[in-house]
Amino acid sequence: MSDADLRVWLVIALLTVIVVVMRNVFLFVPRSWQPRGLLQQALRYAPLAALSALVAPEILSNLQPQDLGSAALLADPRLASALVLIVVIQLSGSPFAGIAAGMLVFLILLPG
Amino acid sequence: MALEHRDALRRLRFWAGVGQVGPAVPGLFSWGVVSGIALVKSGLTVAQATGMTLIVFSGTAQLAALPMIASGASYLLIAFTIALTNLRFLVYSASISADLRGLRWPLRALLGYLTTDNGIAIYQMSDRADRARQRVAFILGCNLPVWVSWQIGSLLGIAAAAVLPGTAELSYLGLLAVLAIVVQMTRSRLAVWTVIAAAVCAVLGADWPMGGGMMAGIAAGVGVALALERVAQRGKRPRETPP
Repeated sequence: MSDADLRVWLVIALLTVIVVVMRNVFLFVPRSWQPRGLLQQALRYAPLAALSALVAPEILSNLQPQDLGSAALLADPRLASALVLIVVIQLSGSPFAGIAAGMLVFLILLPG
Repeated sequence: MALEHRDALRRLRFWAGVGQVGPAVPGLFSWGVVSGIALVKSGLTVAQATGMTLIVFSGTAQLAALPMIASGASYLLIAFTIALTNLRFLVYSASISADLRGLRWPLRALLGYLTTDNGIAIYQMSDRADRARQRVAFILGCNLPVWVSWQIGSLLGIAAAAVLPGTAELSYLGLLAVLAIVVQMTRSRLAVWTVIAAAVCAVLGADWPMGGGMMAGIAAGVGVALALERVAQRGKRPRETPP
């Protein structure tokens, strides 16, 4: 097994431990251990913040600072499909319509 | 006779759960297909993609991990980020814990593993008048169809991606699915500012070492949310009016 392969398996093991523990924790420890106060408030927004911080750089990863304001911005498959997805979900209220529209735009603009 | 009656009731509750989660099945199936494709196109082998889907069974965790695997993020950063993106599972486990009390631990662990967003949403809307054993059947009925449709979709996606041509860039399809989750979660003005703060910091810090930009983004997003919440609460407090 190559180092890269081993690394992926280790990440899978890591994800398993984290997700399994989080899904089960209050099935095995008392509910009174739930976080409260400021920590509870912070935890409420952490998922949205983490997902946003993860996705945003990926959407812009093909672009350079000098592309700002140029037509390259809208011809980029990543950015264009993301914008279409956001607009379609806001208009239709359906996440699946948004993903479908975004995928379509992405596949059309993808070179090759 | 009484036993038969109880079994029948349990079966009834199970199928009630299945019926209620049913409308979500086509969507979950297609979501599974997309993430199966993303897993393989991002460089995972068929065995790795299949293993991840079956064991981890969390679309957000799997899809969020892909760009971090690709960029060579540290195990610590991956663990931290995945834990934060899946915090909702903590809340879910707390919400079903009362009904699962007294069950043997393997069954509890199985029901925990099967916990899904769709299943819990239906469970939380249902009335809680019936007996604990019937509720367990209901929880199972709510979650099992999600598992089946997601897994079949994922496995088909993995198989399709392994056979059909396509560049690694197709793994971006998985990120579009994650973006759809972000848009779904952004339902208030406070949430919009959370997203903006987190996104701007993460983009500015994209080249910082050790995932510093990611951390800064999370801190900024949570910080802005807490600050805005505090401001909103101060506004609500009744003002003392002078006589």
